Amino acid sequence: MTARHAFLAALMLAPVAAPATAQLRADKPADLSQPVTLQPGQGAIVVGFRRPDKPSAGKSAKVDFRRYDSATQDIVLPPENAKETGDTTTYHVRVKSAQKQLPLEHVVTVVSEGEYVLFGASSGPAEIANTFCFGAPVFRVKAGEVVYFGDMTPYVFVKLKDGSRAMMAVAYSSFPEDARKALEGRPELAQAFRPAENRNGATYRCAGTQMLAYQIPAEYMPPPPAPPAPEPVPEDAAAEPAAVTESE
Amino acid sequence: MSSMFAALLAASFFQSATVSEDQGSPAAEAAVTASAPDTELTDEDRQDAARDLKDSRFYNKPGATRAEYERDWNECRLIARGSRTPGGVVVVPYNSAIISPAVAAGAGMLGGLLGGAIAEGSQRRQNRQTCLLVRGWALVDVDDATKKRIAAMTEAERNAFFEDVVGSTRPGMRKIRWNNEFAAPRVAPVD
Repeated sequence: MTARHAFLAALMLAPVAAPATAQLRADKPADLSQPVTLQPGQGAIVVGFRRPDKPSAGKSAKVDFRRYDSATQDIVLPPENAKETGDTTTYHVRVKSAQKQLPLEHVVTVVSEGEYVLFGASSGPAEIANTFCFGAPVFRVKAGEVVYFGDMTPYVFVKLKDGSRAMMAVAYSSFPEDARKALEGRPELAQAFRPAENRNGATYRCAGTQMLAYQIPAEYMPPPPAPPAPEPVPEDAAAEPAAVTESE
Repeated sequence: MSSMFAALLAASFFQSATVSEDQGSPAAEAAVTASAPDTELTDEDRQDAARDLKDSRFYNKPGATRAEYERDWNECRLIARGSRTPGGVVVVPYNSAIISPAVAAGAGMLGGLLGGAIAEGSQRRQNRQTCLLVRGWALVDVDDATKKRIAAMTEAERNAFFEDVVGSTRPGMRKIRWNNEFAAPRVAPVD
């Protein structure tokens, strides 16, 4: 092979071998057949697509996240000149299922650190046309962390227990251990893995045809923080009688 | 295939809000969002809110007042228009940066169908309804006898009726509530 051929081969392989990079819109999954390197200021979001029953079998799904600011209770939009200034902040994350025949798959997307809110979701071939602006889960991705959001189960025109049908649903569940196992082949991701500390009820500006709320069911929410332990009483203080002030 | 896709996509736009029905019990689901700060309402705003207090449908939240209903209704109207966030912040009505190109493409494919529906405001009304349901209001499915009773009322009687019924705690009203169906559908078991 000549030097020129070697150079061309390297050029062709470069996009595959290069570490995943965050961008304004992150819509490409990390290639888990290669080492995934998180750059400084980057983390990753893991989303599972779970198809546990006949109605969800063979269905694809898409999920959108947006950068969020809890202080302003709104999504964060990219500045107009973001591209010109080389802004590498992730503002929009699109996660798509890739293998709809599988009962369970996990998709890893590299993003820049920050807060993300669930923005919309769809099942089947339909585009995402909804927004969960009336209340949605929000979570934080810190630099170097691989954060598991949860599993999404796609339903289209599914029959409900009351006999009616839901035109579309993307059911939430959470199985962190399954996600952790899915990353076992990528130790650099597995060691940075942690489940998201999701918080329901984040609202933001409504920009979508169908405006909804999406609430993670209580059974999948992280347990409330334990109450602070009582401060230990110093041994000396415990031995001494309580000070008593007497007044005449 | 493409027509089926279009039908599914169209259906997803026009599906009703995630709702459930029950018999007069207190709100089973906690509202997910807090109400925005108070706003000054005009007489026109109040009249607009009264459009959803009819013999065929009205809203109820046990313990709430008519004024609270009017405030929530008007806030939800602004939110459904995109001119206010659910948190109460006034925003620009439209920003292309937050509509994904994919959505735009999808909308374009359905062309006049969607455009017409949105222009007519049916989706906007649906969104306003979802907003109110998420805030803890229930849409009352009025039975025929009550419909007739309301229809026979004078304007003053009707006004007094709704003044009371929006916050009524009495049982027997068949209500439609927000129930998180998109995230937690009660899927029927399949053999």
